[in-house]
Amino acid sequence: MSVDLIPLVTFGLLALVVAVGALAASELLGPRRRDPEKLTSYECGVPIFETAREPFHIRFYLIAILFILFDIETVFMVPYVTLFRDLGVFGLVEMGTFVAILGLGLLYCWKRGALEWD
Amino acid sequence: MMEWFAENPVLSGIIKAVVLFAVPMQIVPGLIYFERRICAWIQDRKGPNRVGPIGALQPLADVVKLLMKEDIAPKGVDRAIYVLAPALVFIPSMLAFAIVPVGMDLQVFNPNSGVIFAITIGSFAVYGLSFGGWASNNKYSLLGGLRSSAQMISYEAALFLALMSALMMAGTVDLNVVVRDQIAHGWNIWRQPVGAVLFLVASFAETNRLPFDLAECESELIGGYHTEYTSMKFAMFFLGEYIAMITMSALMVTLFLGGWSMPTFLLTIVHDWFGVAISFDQVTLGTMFWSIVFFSAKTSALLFLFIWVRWTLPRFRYDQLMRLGWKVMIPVALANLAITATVIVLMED
Amino acid sequence: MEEFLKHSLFGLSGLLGVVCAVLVVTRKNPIYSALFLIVLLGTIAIDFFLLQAEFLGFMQLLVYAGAIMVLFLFVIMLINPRGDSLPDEGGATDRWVAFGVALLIFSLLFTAIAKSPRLKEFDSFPGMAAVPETVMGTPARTADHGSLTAFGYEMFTTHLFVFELTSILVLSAIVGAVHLSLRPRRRKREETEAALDSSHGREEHAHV
Repeated sequence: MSVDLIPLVTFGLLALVVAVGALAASELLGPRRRDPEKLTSYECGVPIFETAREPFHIRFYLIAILFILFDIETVFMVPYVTLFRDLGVFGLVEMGTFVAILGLGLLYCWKRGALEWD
Repeated sequence: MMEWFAENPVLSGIIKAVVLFAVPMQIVPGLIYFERRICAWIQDRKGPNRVGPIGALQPLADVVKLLMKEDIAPKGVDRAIYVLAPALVFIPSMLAFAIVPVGMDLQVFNPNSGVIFAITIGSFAVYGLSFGGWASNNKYSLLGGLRSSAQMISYEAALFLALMSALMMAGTVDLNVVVRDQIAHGWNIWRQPVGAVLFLVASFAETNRLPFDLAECESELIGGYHTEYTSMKFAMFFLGEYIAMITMSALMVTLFLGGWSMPTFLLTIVHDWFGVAISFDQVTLGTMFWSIVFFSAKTSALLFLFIWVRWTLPRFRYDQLMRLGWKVMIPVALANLAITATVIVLMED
Repeated sequence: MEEFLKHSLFGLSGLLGVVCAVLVVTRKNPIYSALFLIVLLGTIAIDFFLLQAEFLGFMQLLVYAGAIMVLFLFVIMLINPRGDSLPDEGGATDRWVAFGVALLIFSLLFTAIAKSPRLKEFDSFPGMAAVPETVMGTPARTADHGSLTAFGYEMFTTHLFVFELTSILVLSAIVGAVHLSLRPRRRKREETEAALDSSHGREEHAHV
């Protein structure tokens, strides 16, 4: 097991080194000429009004919860994909029921207008 | 030479990892250069042609410039998360590449769960965008970060389902077996055309490329989640985007375009011209070399498609994007899967 | 060597998990709590990997650390608490009550684990046991796919009913979420449109 993991660990460490190295390099190499104007948030040059961290629309929350639905569906589909030839018609009905119930969730969101973005 | 690799698993493992890490990292500057040349060609301009012969050293100059730029973190940013976000975009995209077999049985990591590794690790890139957008303390960043996270998760669902259709043909999650199945039965793009189109469209959206680059949307969001990023932190977001593009193209090639294999007539051409007999029954040095060549050629063609599409199609509107994702792609992907499973089960019964 | 590596990885991930868990509840900024919760869920995935339940580990990462935490993050950003708008932390009494409850749950779990008859089956400390050759008469690992096939086979045959129930659970969650979040919005939009129509005398514009 550990021999198989050596390439992955090396790969991961390299990615980490590149990420940390590049971020550190830009902190160290660049010039430092700070002034208060430069440190303000960019808002097309006009003075900033209100705070940036404002609440946003609830649709994003609905999209996230729909994503969980399909994530779970996919996760259960993975073992099914490797087994569906062995499980035959029985598996087909079983998975069909599962997907159909989750499909109802998508249909409900659709009909209630949760997917409308106007 | 192949024996040496088999006898020294530790050393060869490290060499393999370093080489397979260095290659995509080296492709990125080249890819950016080619993107600029191709876009200039499409728009009938000259493009970068000053630094080095035909401007080929332009990416190097860009890297130096980005390194020497001042690193500005505006007031009000959440320092720790602000620094963490660019790395969170880059590292998952890079790690997902580890699963791709770039040559015959040549991949950094081949777990039992196969391609699940890639979709799991790849899905973490969404945190880089949403954290980056939130930490910047800028309205454009927050909007861009949110938009792109919502876009990524929406199309991730479609991407997974399209992926399942390709896996279903071989009945496995092991990418090398998927490729071997395609050698035996023909490429998945012919057997699963709907799945292939869905996967391609979803991978454009996943990598935040035009026509789905709603996150950046220069004219409305001034660059979206990376508005407040400068210097290498800014570059890191782009590095992540391009690495994700390479990973997605490589996955698409493996799943739908025969991976490291090639149709028989091309094998005959290689045999006639170079005198190399290639058989995909066993790993030899010659087969390994040519499988890497085939794989790189196919991946490059897909990368060209990515660039071509970017400079040809206009951007979607956000409501169109969401409608396409949830009301077209996902129902079609589900129907495609249902038909595929039913046909295979009934035919083999 | 391999045993030593596995033991140290288990110890390190466990330690990291506990540290992250403490950080989740002590951070004042909920975004940081979410960040540490993601790491915590990742350390649990490592435990799955060490138990050779590779697919469960990836599920843990994909569903919990990948999808559910995105939802958490969106909710936190949706409410977007700022320093001044956060509710006051409870007083000393609240803290002691919370501490007491935590201690109670901890001792319950500890006793349950320590008294478990399964514990005797492990040759080393829990979490480090080798996967048995057979589970309920079926081979735990087949030669070609490893745990994924075994897991799937169990799920689609023995635990068929629970598997189908999962979909109903998720469906009810979706219906609940849509119902709660969309009702006020729709009414509000109709009101706005009605107001617009009456004040400007505009025709109702078509919604695409």
